[in-house]
Amino acid sequence: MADAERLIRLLDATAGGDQRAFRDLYDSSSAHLFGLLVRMLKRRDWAEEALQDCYLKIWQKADSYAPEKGAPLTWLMTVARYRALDLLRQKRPEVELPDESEAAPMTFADEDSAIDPESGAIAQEGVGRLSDCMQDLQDEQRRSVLLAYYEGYTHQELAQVLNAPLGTVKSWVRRGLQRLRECLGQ
Amino acid sequence: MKIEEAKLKQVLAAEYVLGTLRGGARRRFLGLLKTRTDLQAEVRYWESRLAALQAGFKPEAPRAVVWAEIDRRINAVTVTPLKPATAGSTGALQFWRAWAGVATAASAILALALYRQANLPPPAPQIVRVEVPVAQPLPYVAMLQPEGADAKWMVSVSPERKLIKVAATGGYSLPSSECLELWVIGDDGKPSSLGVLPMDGEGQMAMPRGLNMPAKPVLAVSKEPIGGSPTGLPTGPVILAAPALRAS
Repeated sequence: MADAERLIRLLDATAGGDQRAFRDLYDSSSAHLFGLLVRMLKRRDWAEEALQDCYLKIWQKADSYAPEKGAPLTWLMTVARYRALDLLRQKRPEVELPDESEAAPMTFADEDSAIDPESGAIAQEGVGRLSDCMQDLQDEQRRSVLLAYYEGYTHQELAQVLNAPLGTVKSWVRRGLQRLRECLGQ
Repeated sequence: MKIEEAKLKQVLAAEYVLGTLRGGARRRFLGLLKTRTDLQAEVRYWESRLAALQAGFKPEAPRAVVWAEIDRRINAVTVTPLKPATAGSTGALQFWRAWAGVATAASAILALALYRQANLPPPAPQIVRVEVPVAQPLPYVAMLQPEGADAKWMVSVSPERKLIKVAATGGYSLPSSECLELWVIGDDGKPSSLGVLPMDGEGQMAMPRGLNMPAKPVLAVSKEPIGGSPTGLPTGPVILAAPALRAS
């Protein structure tokens, strides 16, 4: 894992147009981003293309990083993960299904929870607690959430991989996330 | 959309970050996300919580060719950094002074004056299109030509390469205590300094950090005390304004 303070310095210098710092930043972080992209995109040529896109974006948008937003490597990998999701949408476009959020609103359990998502203290604690909360999920819920996170699977792909009806899979994902939210937000 | 429901909001944000929100639902969520700070906070919440899973990705070194392509795309032409001129030095770069910082506040009166100047029909500065042999996209370009002088500045701004280039020709008479400062006027009418214009020769300079090019950039030049505006905003008369066009 690259040293966070060093990455913050390199990002800061990159924001100022320092190409040598940008090269150092790339050398220190690209393997992490590339590992993510290869896993999610499955194809090395797509992953290489995506890695270029990511670093061009980082070169242009380095000034939008602020240490308050989290660890620098987390920020860089978040850029990569969104890029991978974008490419998966373009390259594996799914058939548009009737949109459930318009026709029949998603339904939820009734619990009231007063959660303040902007509380930095809660957010910090939550990161450390994620794996505990994951263990609290039902197996199918946990597997769905993790497959979506690591493989970028859509609901349809999850249904195929898990050999379950689409509606069931959607509810595994949704309820898994709701439970995580309840567990993490407490 | 019944997005007011707190739990629906949470789960939509979660599915967006996870990547399972697709199609029309995703597009509508993105539309709302632009303005809704509560949704932005939910997205940040999930980004930071799920980030713990990032440790599960196995690092893998990319081939060297990937960096080579990134380098080529940000830097298609060799950049020769300009050294700040020192007082009393001679040569073409003598007038390429230290560049001023980015303006952060606005002057409504100035913006209005600039806007009117930018929209004056016949004496408006001449705009040229330039073929530049570099990788796409091409820079914004403007030819700045004040009235009543034969001075011309060819300015190109390349946000992708964070680079501003200026080539000055002709002459412009100015007291030795003054300089000309280049500004870009944002879509909101706010000027941001791009730096001090050279009085002759050519130079290039990194774009001031944090500066985003507006959708329809207008460049303007004002007279300032030597070294540039002390306030970060134009303080002297504006001698010209012209739109910068992106060659395509």
